Amino acid sequence: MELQKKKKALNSVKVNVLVDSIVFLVILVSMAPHTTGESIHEWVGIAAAGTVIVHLLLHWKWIVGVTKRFFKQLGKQNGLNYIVNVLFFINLTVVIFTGLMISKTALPAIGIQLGEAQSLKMLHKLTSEWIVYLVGVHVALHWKWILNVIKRYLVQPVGKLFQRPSRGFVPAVNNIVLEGEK
Amino acid sequence: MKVLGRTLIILFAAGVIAGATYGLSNAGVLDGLIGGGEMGGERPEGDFESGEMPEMGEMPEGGAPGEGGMEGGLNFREVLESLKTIGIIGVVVILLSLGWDQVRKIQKRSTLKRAGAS
Repeated sequence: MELQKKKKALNSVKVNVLVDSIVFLVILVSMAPHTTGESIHEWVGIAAAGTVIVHLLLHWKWIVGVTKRFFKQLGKQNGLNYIVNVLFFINLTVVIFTGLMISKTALPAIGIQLGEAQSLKMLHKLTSEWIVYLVGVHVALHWKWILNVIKRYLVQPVGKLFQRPSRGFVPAVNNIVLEGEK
Repeated sequence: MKVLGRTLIILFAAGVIAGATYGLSNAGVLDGLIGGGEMGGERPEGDFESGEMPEMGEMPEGGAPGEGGMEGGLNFREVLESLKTIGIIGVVVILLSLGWDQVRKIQKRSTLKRAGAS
């Protein structure tokens, strides 16, 4: 029973790592419109909305729990985390919305033609610059988790590949050491 | 069903923010805040005389002068711009994680001092 719980937790960590990496990559790619070109920038930006929704769904319990506790008693880091995440969500929504409103290729490709407002263009540019800093803060607040995950799923497996194959007497030596420690 | 409900809540929250942004931009509040209105009116229409812009055939081979870079459109400057984003994120992460560690150390020290004094 406990083993099943552990396996489930392990799988959810793997899913989180995968989704978070995709969200990070999607945001990075959409932050470089000059490199990717306008069309890819717009479609990747639209895809970002989907990945962010999945990310939020995966962290739903945390969002609900912290929202409930927010006005009562919340640790400093959790409070800061929550405020940063709310700002991040608002900023990302504004970026995606203004991006859709000034879209030149993605929306016209599916037959939607919207007007071009200079203020929305400016707002899109301004809020997309803020995203870089908000991503930085968001990553910094989860830095320990990211490091642990990198160690567990990247460094350790790669390290095992270069390890010498274990011989028969090695476990016995380990046992002696463990018994000695006791 | 749960996932659908949660997705709708997220979309509703996003819709509220998008609606507020649209409302503010329609009311002209954003123009005042970010100066969008001024830029919109600055560029006069039909100012270019015919023949002023170079035709595609007139461009010298290898592109405009000083445009050295990789062939196929991927410019070194563009790659640098992309790296800049990662660099900024990295700097923010390093500064904040170091700062946060320092704050924690100071907090630990002060609690230890208090415990020692009492």
